[in-house]
Amino acid sequence: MLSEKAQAEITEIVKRYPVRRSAILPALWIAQREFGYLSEEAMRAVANLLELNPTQVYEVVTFYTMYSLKPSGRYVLQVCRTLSCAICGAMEIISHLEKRLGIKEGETTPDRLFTLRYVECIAACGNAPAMQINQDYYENLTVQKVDQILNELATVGKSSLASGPFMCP
Amino acid sequence: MTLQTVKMVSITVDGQTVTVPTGILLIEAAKRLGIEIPHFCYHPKLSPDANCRMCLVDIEKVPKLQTACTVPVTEGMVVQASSVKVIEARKGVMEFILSSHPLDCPICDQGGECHLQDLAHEYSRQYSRFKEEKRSYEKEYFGPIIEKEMNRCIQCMRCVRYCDEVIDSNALKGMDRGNLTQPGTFMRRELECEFCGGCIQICPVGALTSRVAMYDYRPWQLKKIETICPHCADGCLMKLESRDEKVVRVTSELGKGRNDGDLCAKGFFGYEFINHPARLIQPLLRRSGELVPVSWYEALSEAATRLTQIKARYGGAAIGGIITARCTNEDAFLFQKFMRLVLGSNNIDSSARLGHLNAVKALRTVIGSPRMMNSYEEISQADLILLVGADITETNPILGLKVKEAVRRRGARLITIGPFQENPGTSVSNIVNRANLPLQVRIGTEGVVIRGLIKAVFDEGCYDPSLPNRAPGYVERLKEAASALSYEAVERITGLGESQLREVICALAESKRAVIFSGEGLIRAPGGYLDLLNLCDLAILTGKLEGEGCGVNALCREANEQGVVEMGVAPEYLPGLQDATEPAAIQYSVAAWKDDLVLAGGSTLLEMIEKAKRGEIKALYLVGVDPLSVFPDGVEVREALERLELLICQDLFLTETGRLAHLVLPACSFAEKEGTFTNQEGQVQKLNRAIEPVGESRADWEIFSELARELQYPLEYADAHEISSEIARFIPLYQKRSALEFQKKVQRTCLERYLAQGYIEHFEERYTKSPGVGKSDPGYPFTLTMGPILFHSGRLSLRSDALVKISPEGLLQINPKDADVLGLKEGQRVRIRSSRGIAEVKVHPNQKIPEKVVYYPEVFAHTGVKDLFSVELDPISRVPYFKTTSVRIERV
Amino acid sequence: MPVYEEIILKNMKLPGYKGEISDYKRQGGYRALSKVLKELTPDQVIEIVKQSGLRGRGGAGFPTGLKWSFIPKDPQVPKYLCCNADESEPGTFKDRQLIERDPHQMIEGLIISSYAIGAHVAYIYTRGEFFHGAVVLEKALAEARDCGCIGKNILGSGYDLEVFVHRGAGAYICGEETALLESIEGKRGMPRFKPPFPATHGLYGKPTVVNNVETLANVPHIILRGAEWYASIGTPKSAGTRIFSVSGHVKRPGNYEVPMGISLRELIYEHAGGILGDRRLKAVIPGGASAAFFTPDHLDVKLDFEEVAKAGSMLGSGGVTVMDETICMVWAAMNLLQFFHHESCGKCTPCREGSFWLHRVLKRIEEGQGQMEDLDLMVNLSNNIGGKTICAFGDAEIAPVLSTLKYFRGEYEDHIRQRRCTLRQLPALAGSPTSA
Ligand SMILES: Cc1cc2nc3c(=O)[nH]c(=O)nc-3n(C[C@H](O)[C@H](O)[C@H](O)COP(=O)(O)O)c2cc1C
Ligand code: SF4
Ligand code: FES
Repeated sequence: MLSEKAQAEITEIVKRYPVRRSAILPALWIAQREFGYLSEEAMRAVANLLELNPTQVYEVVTFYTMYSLKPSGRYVLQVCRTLSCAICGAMEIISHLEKRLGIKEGETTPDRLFTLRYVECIAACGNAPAMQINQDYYENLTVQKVDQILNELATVGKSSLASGPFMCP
Repeated sequence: MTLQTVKMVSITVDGQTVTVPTGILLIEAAKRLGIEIPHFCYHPKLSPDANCRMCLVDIEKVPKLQTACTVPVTEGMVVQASSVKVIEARKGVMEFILSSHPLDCPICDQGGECHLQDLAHEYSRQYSRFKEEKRSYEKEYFGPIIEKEMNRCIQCMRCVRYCDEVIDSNALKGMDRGNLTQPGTFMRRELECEFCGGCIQICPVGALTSRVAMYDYRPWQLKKIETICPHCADGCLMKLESRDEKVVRVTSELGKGRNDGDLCAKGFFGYEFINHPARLIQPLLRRSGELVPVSWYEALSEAATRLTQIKARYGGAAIGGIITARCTNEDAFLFQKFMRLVLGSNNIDSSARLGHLNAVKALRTVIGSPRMMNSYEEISQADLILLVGADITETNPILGLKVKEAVRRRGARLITIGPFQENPGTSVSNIVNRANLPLQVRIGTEGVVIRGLIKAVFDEGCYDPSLPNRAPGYVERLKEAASALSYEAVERITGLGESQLREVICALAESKRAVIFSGEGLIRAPGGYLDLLNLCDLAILTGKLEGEGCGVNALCREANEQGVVEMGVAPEYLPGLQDATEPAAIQYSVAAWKDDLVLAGGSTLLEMIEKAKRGEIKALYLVGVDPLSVFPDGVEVREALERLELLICQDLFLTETGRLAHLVLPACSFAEKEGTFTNQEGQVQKLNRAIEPVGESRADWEIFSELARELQYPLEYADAHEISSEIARFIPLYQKRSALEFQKKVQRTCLERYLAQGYIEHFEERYTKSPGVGKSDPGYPFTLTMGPILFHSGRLSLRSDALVKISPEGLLQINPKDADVLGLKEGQRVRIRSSRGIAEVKVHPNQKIPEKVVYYPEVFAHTGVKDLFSVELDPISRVPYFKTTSVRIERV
Repeated sequence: MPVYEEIILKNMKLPGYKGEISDYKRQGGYRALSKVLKELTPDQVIEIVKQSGLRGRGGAGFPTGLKWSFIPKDPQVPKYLCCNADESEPGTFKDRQLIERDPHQMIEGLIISSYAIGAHVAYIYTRGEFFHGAVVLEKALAEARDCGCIGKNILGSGYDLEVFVHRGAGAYICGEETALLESIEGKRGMPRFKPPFPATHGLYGKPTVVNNVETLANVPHIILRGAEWYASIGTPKSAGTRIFSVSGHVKRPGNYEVPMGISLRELIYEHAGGILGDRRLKAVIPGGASAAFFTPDHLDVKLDFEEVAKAGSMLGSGGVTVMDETICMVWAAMNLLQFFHHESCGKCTPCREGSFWLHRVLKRIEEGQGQMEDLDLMVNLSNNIGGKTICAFGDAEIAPVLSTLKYFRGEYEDHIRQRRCTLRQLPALAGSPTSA
């Protein structure tokens, strides 16, 4: 079940719109934050709060790529593979990650630490190649940097290489 | 049809010019020129989506090709609908659609009636340029009665839009995206919905098909006969499609029938009873205790002999006849004629007695016509709809669609007064969810609410100004009564406060086209007749009885409840609802039938059974009714029937009652006979024979006629039509076929009579008698109530496999909070205990059900739940009530 | 190299500028707003913006003032302004910078624009990935609310406006304005057919304006420095500056705000510092993935809406992707078609099936399994998509195919003849195209 806090947040957000249903994306974000993914309960809870049929929630969840229907690792590596990154070394990064983590696209490491995803352009082309890990951007990637990031995340739980406010050049 | 004059524009399509109302869609305008613009996703019932792109046309002065399904016509529009450019574009679209469509037509049930097949001939190249691997979906099991084959889906989303826009269910939604987009359900589960079959019918390809008759036929092998659905009083037009004298499917056609092509689960999936193996195929006669097959000759002569003896020994009053309100007008008419003339008995009644007679009597008293006052068209055009005790989407699904249409498409205001609560998010409609003003009242107190509303009319001072001069006495009496009543009392009993009552009255006053409905909650509850009179008073006071597009309406259950009563199947009425106690009326019949009419007896449904118990009635002729499964044990139906010297049961199946019969006669189903039904709206609609009679079964009217001959009182008719014409001669109303033709509206003289003195009768009971508070016994904290459910109509639906799969058993619906308190989960067994007995059932928590109330589907009540009730007979309308009772719920 | 005055990238480059409201105000922030609220009627604002010649920066380049003027005046009807911060066009990364570095600039523009069209509620639709951007915006909105620039009776003018951030969840198509509206309404982000246009039937069926972040960011400056000043920058038909996001094989990738009308050559060789390792330029996409490829022959095309269009591509989102001689064009087209196939919403047939089909053919050719007739097939399929879909995505997805086929047909033929890629430097593209 959604926590009191989450429910309160959602009821607040509902007020921003003339139509309850509009709060569905924000509500799903909150639910995903709570559970790490969108479980059946989570979606039902959102449906109840927004007075929707659960199917109306599910149709939305299956349309947007950032909602996840199954639990993923603690860190979701979302590597950009679109043109600018691709021609600036994304492919090396990808094959390195696959080798190092021993997993393929969509898979999660046995220790449930990392999930690997390939995504389309994340608006970091100027600093290609780039990836997003959970909410943080990591840019101008090199194989070495990737190793450092993974090590830091695995050990201290955050990486010094995360991008700050974006400026390019 | 609002009668505003619409502006016309003239447009030119492929050189032909046509004048059409401005604003209609180009694709429709072209139709009027006989130009069918190819399309997949467009459907006249749905808002355009323009996703298939098949309807591209070239419009002068518009750079790009446009979709004819989205463009409203404008004056002088010039369109190329079949130029080379257009055809090439469509071929392009078609190639894309086919690129991912499998070539499994040979094993596709849509084969032969598939839009894609049809258009492919016209718009595709001979060979495929698509050399890649086709997209393919994971196969999903969609449940026992609908087959989902997404590889065939062309993603037009018609099913999804129908499910939302027409049915208001949202059970089917778009899933995933890109070229794997598909219609689907929550978590890709089995489909849970109203099972209206609309998605199957509206799917242009074979993506969604019925599993009920999978692979059983090719469309062109089917004999298709238009007839009327037997399941409820909405009176939907449907096609019975049969192969080798077996009905294999039902379809309906857009724009046809009162249902305009829509059906409910019962209509679409409830046909398997027709060819059910348990159908009676021969007469059965009791010999040395056993029911044994006999010939019709034997059966009829046996019946004749015994009836003659009984009539001779005890007189006609010792014989009774009860017929189902599912029979045709012709059956009913002949039945009462047979009973009255041949057997000389006025002990005749029908299942309409179980409630509808309250409505008939009340409306007849006030406006002189017993029918619904508003046509379906008027209902979808209402600007305010007031539902009193009417769970309309559950009891009358198609009429429910008209209400939804009024609310969703035309922005009508909806006020609901009844016990049920909102349960948003359900995929089985609950009209309360659509209400602008959902007023929840304690169960069984709708009647008191009406009195409260009448008080509010005076306090708001908004009653029809013309009324005081027209009927001073009437207004005065009502005003007095109103002032005598206190809002506190009303609130204590119903739970509705003064402000809410006033709000309803203001809404009524503001509205122009107000349609008022009463349903089960009023009609089938104690005092139903009087409450309906009060409802009429409310309408009169607020000027909503006679006003254009206004009216008071009572919902019916069975397919021909309206008809059987109008045919005179009721001791108090002769055909045409003439008062059986009026000499003039009797004279009329005598003249018509050229025989004098002794109206011996005159007992109603329940009275007959009681008389039988007392040994005053010796013979009962039951046609399509099964009192043993209907009435609570308390009535002691079995004891009554066992005392009879002769019990004849005429039915499709061997019923519980039938097992006690001396003689069982096999009757035809609606699919095997001709005749007419009169739907609740008053439409007299024709049944057509789709298949030959099953076994030796015969149409009910034929059996009456045969039996009459055996009794030396010939009632000879060549066919049902001959009876129809006699009916038409007898009842002028029936010379018109369509309800829209005759004035079902208020009969002035009658209303004036009511306003002058008619209202005085029973005024005390109606108003001044202080409304009794429903006493709640702490030992029995719950109120158990029975009623219909969407998926069943009674014995017929219980013999339709598909419907049984959808709803296999009676589930006791309980409010989730109560369920939690009792620690009950879905499907858990509970014991329902009333002062009269115990029944064991499974529970189904449902937010719709108010706290401290439990709801049980009546069709399943014969398994024991009915016996928890006691029966109360209405002293005036003689309607037996067993709608609610106090119970205790214990987990097992 | 020529230096130009920056307008909207200026503040953020000042030392110590953190984009907080104090920083912004110190640079004259929110003066335009008070000027507008004190001195100008909505119609006057619209007129000024019309005069300035400002055109949409989101892609279509539609005249902004004109768009606003389509909004019905009836004060009874609620109206909405939606800021399109979905920035998903491959090669484009300017809005992200405008948001994260100087949020108040676009917010002030958004308030002024809302005032101009009579909206009392505005939504900023950011793409789902912009988590930090959303946080920055929420913070900025709170600041603006605190000093009376948002909320009831703004700066004592009696004008009310509420602004909310609405974050998407991963769908390129939600940048398309009607899909964006659907998404705010809580539905699947699928474009609506037009007409009717958002100006009359937009969010919740009410009159609505959708404007890009950069478009709005320009508005305060136009108000303060006047329409003439703005119109004097750039070219007559394409007024003002434009942020070009340069990426790919250049020495100094980044966002460059320059007057419209400078040459592609200047942008690449002067501002972005030329090609990496001084290799030879092979192809450029001038306006995001939806724009047709250019070749070195186009280096002197002037970067304004008309000239780029005349040269057969479009200025689009200003995302300039530069590819050097090592890049295989078949592979590049395949990469983009993978993108388009993955992002097609699936609503209308030609786009849904076409993007899938084209991607598969390109993949085959790239892997050496192509046949000569595939080339004409792709042209033909593209023509069956172009102009036949509900939204412009259809026209976008065919641009890479048609342009590479036009300028680099030889490379396709080599793949087919030699059954392999002749110059691939890169490992095959990982990941299945439809993994979502
Ligand atoms: C497929 C597609 C994607 C788009 N993506 C964006 C986007 O990410 N950001 C944006 O501002 N406009 C985008 N647009 C353009 C918008 O539809 C719209 O024209 C623009 O936001 C209007 O704002 P403007 O007039 O300020 O440019 C896209 C259009 C299409 C057809
Ligand atoms: S399932 Fe039916 S409605 Fe849905 S896309 Fe296929 S054909 Fe159209
Ligand atoms: S019918 Fe017009 S687009 Fe489908």
